[in-house]
Amino acid sequence: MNEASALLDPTIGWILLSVLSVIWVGLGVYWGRKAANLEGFMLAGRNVGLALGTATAVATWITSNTTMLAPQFALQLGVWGMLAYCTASFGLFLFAPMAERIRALMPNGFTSAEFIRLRYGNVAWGIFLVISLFYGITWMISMGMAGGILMEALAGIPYVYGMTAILLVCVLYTLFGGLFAVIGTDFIQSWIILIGVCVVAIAVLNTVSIDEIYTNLERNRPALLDVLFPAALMAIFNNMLFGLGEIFHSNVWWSRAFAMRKGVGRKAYGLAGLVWLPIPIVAGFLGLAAPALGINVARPDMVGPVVAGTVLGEVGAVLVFVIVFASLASSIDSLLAATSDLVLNDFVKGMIARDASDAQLRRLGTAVIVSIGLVTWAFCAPRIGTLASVLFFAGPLVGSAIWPIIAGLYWQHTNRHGAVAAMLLGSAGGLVAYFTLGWYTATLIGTAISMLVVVSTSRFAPQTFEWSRLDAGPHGGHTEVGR
Amino acid sequence: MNFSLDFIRTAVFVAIGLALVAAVFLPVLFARDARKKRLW
Repeated sequence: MNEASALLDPTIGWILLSVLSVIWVGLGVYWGRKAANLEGFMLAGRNVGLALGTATAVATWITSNTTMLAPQFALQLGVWGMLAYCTASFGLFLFAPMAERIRALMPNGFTSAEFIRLRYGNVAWGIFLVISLFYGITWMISMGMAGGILMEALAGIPYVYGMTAILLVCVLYTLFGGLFAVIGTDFIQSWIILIGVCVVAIAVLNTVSIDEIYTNLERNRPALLDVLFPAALMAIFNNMLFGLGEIFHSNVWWSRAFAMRKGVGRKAYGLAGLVWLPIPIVAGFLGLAAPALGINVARPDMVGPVVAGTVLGEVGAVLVFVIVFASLASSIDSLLAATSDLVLNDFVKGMIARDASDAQLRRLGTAVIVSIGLVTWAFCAPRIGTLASVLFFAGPLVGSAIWPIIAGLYWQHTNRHGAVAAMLLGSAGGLVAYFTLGWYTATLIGTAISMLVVVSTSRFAPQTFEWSRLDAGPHGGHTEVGR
Repeated sequence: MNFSLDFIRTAVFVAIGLALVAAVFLPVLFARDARKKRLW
């Protein structure tokens, strides 16, 4: 798509981009004043309340995929497509009790990798770090690329400028404000997205009735209404398990569990699931409405913005631009903060600068955030389309971590070597399935293998673990418990 | 077998309703936490 076919005039696009950038960086600087020490910077002082805790989980889980891919799913996979996307909320619901337990077992914890090291030892820690960093970096690259592509498609802003701007803004406000800035901006972003998608959906309902949409689909695209649409049914399970794996293993969610005040985690993640659940349906509805609105969809990935532009004109296009910017920023900032925490806590503090002071670590943290931003930019800049699809390889990898995490948190007799084997065999099996059977089977098979290995090794060769070893003390300790 | 019109209508209206309730609920929750000085 070029400037001529963009929904917004490029001048308006640039003005919007500049205003939003100034606001987010300004808020980052403002909230950054609260981050007086390293713990404040990394975990927002471990005292985040229910409102901000709920909103940050919602905003982080609403990526540009939620607002852009849900309409595409509905357009291509029908009613099941938008319902399948909703299953990603199950990850938030199921993580709610885990967040409470994580906070209780590791009151001084910093990262998910630290849990794996203390629970299963250094080998498991190494494998988990590879999975986690691969997932974090590829997700960030895919978001950065999506940012550039969407800015270009929506407002004719050249890809490299749009991608650079959104990465730069996120790096700057994360740099100034750490998790305080990330969580604060997440609140505003989640609210903007909720209001925005509702306004567009209501505008669609004012233009065309659900009866007309249904009749049109029945006549022209009956497969989209089919209860037994095979591709859509398979997408449900893959989507749900990928979502579970992403949330259970990723430091993005663990760092929030550590950051929330005692007693808040369970409620915040449960409420976040409820708030997030309707968004794919509301956004997906735009995809279902496209045929009845007489829209000839040349690019299925742009169906949401085109529907908004059709029913609301330029106002709709502005709204979509703001929603997309908020969706992208809320995910990129969280990934940036959580990945830099992993690198700082597990690599720098754990291996290179064990005796560094808080002030030194804070400076090193700054360097880590800037480096991750630069690496992401370097991968995004050439705009290699296949790079974004690399993220799908992460499905079986994160799926293989689901059972070691659950068993590690709840079963005292989980076998350490079994957890290592589960991650290795689950990842390998899932990748084989990806290439031989199809993408929609990869996560399912990776998770199933991992489950079998964890359950069978723990059943036939149980090992006892003392829960108290997970609390490594107020400085996050790098005690040698791994064997 | 197709999804019925009533099912789709209900799903869409419930989803929009839930999202609107959430859009009101979040600022109310924020105000409550702010009043009790329990935001951060």
